Amino acid sequence: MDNSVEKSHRIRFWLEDPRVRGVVENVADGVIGIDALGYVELFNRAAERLFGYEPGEVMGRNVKMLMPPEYGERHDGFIAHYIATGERRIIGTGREVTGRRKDGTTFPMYLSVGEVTVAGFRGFIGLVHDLTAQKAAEQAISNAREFLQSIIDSMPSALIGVDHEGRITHWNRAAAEDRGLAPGDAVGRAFPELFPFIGLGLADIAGAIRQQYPIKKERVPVPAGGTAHYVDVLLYPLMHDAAGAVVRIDDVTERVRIEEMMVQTEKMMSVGGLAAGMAHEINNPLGILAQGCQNLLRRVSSEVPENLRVAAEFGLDLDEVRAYLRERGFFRFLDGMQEATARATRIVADMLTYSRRSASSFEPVRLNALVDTVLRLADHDYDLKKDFDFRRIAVHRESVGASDEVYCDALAIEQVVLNLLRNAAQAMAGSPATRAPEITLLIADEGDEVRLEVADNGPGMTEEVMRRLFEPFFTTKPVGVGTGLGLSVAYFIVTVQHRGSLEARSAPGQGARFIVRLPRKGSPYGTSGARGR
Amino acid sequence: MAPAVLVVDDEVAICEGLAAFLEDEGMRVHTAHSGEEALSLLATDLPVQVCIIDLRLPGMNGTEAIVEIQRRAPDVRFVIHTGSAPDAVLRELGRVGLQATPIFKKPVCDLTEIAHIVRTLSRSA
Repeated sequence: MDNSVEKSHRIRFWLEDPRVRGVVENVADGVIGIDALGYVELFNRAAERLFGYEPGEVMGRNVKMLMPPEYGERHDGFIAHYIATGERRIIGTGREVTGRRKDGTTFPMYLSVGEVTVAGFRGFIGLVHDLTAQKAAEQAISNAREFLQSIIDSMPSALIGVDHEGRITHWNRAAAEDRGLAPGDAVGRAFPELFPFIGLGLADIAGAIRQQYPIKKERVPVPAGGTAHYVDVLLYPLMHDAAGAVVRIDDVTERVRIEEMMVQTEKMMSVGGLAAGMAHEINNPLGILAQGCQNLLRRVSSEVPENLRVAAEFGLDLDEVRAYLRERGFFRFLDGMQEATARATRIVADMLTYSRRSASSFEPVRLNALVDTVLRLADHDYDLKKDFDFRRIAVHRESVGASDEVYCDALAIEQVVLNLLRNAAQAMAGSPATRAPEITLLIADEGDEVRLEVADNGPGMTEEVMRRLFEPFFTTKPVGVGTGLGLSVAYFIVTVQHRGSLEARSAPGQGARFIVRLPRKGSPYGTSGARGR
Repeated sequence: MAPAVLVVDDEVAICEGLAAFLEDEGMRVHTAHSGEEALSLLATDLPVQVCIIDLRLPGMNGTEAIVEIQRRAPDVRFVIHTGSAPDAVLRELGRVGLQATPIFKKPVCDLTEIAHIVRTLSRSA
């Protein structure tokens, strides 16, 4: 049909008019005119530059050469479809499409198409705007945004952005993981709703933003199953506009634990210093009590000849004297005094351990052999037998790895293991009769360290007890049974004297597990230079 | 013959308690409350085979007293009876070559052991 159209009505004819040509050639965007079959009638200079063609090179050829092949192949069909049905896809509007340069490379462009119908001629005029620079800018912005997001996502801290009403606007991966939500689930929700345990209310947040002051909260306990967790929380108002704030939440559980341990160790060191100074002063009166009790008992015995002589002098019968004393509870009181003296003696001796840092007794020790010794001791332990026959407990032994040898003070480590066994036995004495008492002793090679575990299936411990476990004079045993020093002495021996670690894992009803780690090349306190650690 | 023992301790009740026990064991016991007093007692030619002595004493300390007693009466044997921390005691005794001396740490809950050691030492004195 186009063939029948007068030449003067065709687009390319218009360009013969220098005024039209001047306008079209100088439009900054590409201008492309085609006829109803898709043949190029108009291709201005900007279009040539865009697509990389020489002047005149595109004229009269099918416009599909300017498109990626997979689209270009269907272009003739698109025009035919439009002409047949009038159904518009791009005509009259515009959209983003891909252009294809002469060298085959492609670029993003914005194409708007208008229809030309003049006296039987039908064609289309396209205006092409290069989007390369804009796309690059968008990409750069998007990259920057992603980069920033990945920076805040890489932070181990939970970061939460809030608006001036305390509603969450952003949060990072750590924050989402902490709350167990998808990254998108927080936006728009109130901060206190998702982080109630922090104790930052909407009014607090709004106030801090309005007045531009930061809020700092330290060691905030986090409700979590099992062990206690702590976080530090910092809220900073945003700097440039006062429309919001960023909240940083850091898990400081480990730091809190280490600080608690240091406090613990310090406490013990001061107990140690005190004990060394007081030992003499306390031991003397204890000695007086101890030997006084023993002398009192002996002085009513008929086996000492002098007693019989003096009794006779007073006309007394020693058997009658003893009967009287027994009747009046005399011997019970003496027993009580002896027992109390022995207990006080143990306390002073335990406290003295804290002041002992001697390296003289360090030697290579095989832990399995050491445990054998301790188990033999436990079988005959008087303290243990009072409440519980150790031989009734099923003891499982396990040894993992090549070597169980550590450089340590064998006597001190024996004391530690015996203490752990004694605690386990005493704890299990309170277990229900339905559960057979069991202790598992594990020794494991861990390279530079050897791990020794003592686990029982007793009643376990509450978190409160766990927290104070290694504190001097803390005990859960009845008055007179424990000195409250056993575990803290064990802790001191392991961590200070041997530079190892001692930790406990337990929960009510779950039994208890004590884990001792001893460095293979132990370096006793105060001799760190000597063994190079 | 019954062993003769000298107990040196500034704590009077400790001296008396030990003396009572050892006397009941049939020994002859003298007491002194300082190193100086012990030396002046020995200067009177008091026959003593074994000296039970504390290390922390007013005036001259226990180790100084031991060294001085040894110089004047070389046959006397010693038993240390002290409330000080064992590490410190060993260091102090080591300094004067007495590391083999039997040490009893206060409080001694059963004096039978001291009596036994005293008897053994007195036989070798």
